[in-house]
Amino acid sequence: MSLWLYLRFPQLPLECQPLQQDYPAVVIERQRVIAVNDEAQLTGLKPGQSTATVRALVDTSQLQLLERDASQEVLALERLECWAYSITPTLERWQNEGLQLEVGRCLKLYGGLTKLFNNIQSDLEQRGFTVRSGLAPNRSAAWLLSHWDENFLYPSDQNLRQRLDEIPLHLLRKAQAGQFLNAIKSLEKTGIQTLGEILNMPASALGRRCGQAFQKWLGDVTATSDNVTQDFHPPHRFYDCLWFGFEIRNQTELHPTMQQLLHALARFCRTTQHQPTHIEWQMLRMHGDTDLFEVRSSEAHDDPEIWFELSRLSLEQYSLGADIEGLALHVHQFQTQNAIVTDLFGESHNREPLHNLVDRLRSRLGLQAINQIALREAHLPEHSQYLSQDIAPLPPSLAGQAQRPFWLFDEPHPIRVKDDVLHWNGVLTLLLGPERLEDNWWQKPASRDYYIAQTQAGQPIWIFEDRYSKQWYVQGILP
Amino acid sequence: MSDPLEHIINRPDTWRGMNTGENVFALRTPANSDLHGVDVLPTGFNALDAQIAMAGWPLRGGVEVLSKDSGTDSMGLFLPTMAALSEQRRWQAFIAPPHAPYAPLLAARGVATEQVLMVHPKDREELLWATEQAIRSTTCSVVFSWLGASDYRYAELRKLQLAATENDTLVVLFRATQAIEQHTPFSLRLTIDRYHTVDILKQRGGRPANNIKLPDEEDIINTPQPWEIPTGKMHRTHTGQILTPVA
Repeated sequence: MSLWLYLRFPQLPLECQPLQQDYPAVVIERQRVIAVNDEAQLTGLKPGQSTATVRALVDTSQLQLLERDASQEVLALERLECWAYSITPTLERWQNEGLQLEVGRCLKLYGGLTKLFNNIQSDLEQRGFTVRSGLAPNRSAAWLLSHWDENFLYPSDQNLRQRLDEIPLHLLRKAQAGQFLNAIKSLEKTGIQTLGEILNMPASALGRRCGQAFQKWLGDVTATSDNVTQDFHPPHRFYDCLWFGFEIRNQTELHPTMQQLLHALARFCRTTQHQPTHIEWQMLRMHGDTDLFEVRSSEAHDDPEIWFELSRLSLEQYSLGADIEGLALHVHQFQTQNAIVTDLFGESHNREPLHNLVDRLRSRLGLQAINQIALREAHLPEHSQYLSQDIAPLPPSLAGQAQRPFWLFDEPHPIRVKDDVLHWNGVLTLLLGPERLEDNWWQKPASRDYYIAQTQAGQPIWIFEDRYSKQWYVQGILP
Repeated sequence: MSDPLEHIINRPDTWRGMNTGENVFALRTPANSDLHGVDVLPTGFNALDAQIAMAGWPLRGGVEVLSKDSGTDSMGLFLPTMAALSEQRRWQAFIAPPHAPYAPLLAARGVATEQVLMVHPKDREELLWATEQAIRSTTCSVVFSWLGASDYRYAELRKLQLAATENDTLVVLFRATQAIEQHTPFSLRLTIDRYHTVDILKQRGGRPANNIKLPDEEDIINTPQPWEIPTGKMHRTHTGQILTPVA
């Protein structure tokens, strides 16, 4: 048996727009008020009033007067669809004002309807949406009940009919917003007051009086099952945003919102088997300006705790300006989830993955601050090794050389020669050598004789004589 | 998990339910439980192990090494340790190293060069932060940090020491000899003023010890010289002989 939960967002025109909290706000469309918030309601504003009435009632300098933005409403519903996809795969947008969720098949997963419904409500409240809901075996009835009955019961076929029977006709007229208006008006004229009375009428009489379309709709509303085979297909990108409704003064005030958005991302990732390697934060400012900053991870993952830590470290490098109104999280690209999470060196202890440390350090110190030694084919020591920023396990192909320094200087340090004696931190004594290394004959030829020498303090060092310039240099310090 | 099932689960169009009551921000379980209890690591030098009360590097509590050059000379002291730790397949972090370590030598001594992770903090704050991060994360088998000649408050060092006690990462901090005046929170404090000669200044549960000689590098002293000697140059060797040119 199918079970549809309809989530209707009556305040969507208001809630999809950035608003300042605790100030009256109204949304108008074609000079008529279509939505008001609680503060506006207190001042006597109501949907249906004209803008002239609004101006007469309230000092408009104290009022947030917003034009309806249908595209924002659609975007908000799209984000809510992605959110709802983590609850059930079968869902659809309904009349651009709400979502139909098929929950019959996943009740067991969530431990029952009450638990599921409480979770949904608290989630939506956090996201700043007012919701009205209806629950029924078919979508039409769920939609209708969302206008009528707030306290829903576990429906069975019988009590669906009972609850439909109680619905007054004037509510039907209001909810239908124009559709079947003539049919409903003509029924009202005959003294019929509830939906139950209509449903009890003989089908033929009803068809004659109200038309086939209305009769078909009544059939939909009373249907005991309503199966949709097509599941929702989530988009390939992730975008979600939250508005603060108050002024952000410091970075810590952003943290709860960040966590909330990352939580949403984690749910999205889990339901789609996708993982990001980099995420983009957008600071939404007044007048539509946005500031971006990116956070990267060397391995794709969806752990909100780790993403939060990396984001927090990146944020510390970022100077927060004034007038930030909202925060958005954008992921343009995902990788498909790895079947087995592999560690960098192929072994996983009961420990944190190795790349976590690299990511954390880079988030604060910058990309260039972390590197590894990498090798290339060259004869001169300073060219045979370079510092690589691609942190990865390197092939352990290297044949070691024992008579080499522990530390290699970036630039060889010149040695002072006086009376055929070498001076570097005192007099140097040669211990071993020479070893000739030559290279670079095609550009700037080099030929060097390397020796191991000892400083006056007894420390062995690696020195060479440039055979062309006859200059002596220190190039490294032995262990 | 069986392969076909895993294959299906990993398809992007497979829907997976999740418990909405799950707290994804809950802390993870401590990551070091598998190695709990391993507290000491042999230094690789019998003479040194004999003088340290724990008979090796303390894995919980940190090692402080004082030297004139703030830890550039005598890195041979840690080569056996680095080689032994290579088995653990974790990072060997070099935080603010004075130079780049030379891979051919590390490889010759059995150190897995790909595990050496170099971190270059810009200033003192970043240095302390990066050191603490490396110690706290369970991803490093050893953290070498060149703190240099700057002054550090006791509280700052104590923070690192506390982090070091929390898991099984060997922590080695290099500081200048002047730091000898200051009290140290670390379990073991050494000084190296002469080549391959270690003095233990302080150790938990043990006594100071002076003049511990590490064996000389066999590579240098006992290796024959297979190379041709250059013409036209004469230099004094450590035995006082003159290397005579060969025609």
